[in-house]
Amino acid sequence: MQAMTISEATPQGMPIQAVTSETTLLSLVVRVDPPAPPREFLELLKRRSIVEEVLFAPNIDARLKITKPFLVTVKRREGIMTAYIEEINEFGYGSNSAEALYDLGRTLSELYFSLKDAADRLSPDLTSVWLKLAEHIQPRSA
Amino acid sequence: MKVHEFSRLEAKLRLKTRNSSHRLAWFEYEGKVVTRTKRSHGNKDLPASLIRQQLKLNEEELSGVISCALEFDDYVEILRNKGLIPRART
Repeated sequence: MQAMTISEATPQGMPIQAVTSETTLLSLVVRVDPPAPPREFLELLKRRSIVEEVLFAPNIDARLKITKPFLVTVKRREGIMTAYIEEINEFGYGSNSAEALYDLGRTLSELYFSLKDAADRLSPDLTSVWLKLAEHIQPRSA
Repeated sequence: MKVHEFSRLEAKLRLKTRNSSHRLAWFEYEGKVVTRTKRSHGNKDLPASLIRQQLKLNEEELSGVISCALEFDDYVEILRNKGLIPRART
């Protein structure tokens, strides 16, 4: 599976909604003339777990720059669309993938400054997260 | 996970919190920040599995905290057993 890339070049730093097989399938179902597909089938389609990998490097904060993209898994979990970075165990969520990725961007910015402020009193586990985060995110020079 | 269940996690685990773009919550022990998580503002359902992973809890442990079967001291012991908090020297 080839990962979609989201970078600062993306308008407004917002991800472009990917056309997934889910979208296609749902569109097909909507266009079907009677007899309509069984309701259970539609429910199954809605609940299908579509997993998408995204290289994520948008403009998340005017003070920061993502210098190395994060690999993000976009997936529906427990009925909620989530965008998850396994490397640093961080996530965003929302009602669709665009919302989840936008939420993730804001979360990354908050996480960066929170960990930076507490850098001298982080547990080894969170120190590891901070070091990995700092590999991807750098402050913008004035 | 519902917002009120997240609030119960905050209370039972004595998480410190701060409102920003999100509600940030973190666990401190003996001056060290050990785990952290967050939720969005509002009443949307939360992804329990990801919050659980950030707090270093398994499903059973998370249910225990929400149902009040597990207390603060139990959480400390869970984190000790996972090597995230050093054992007190005797």
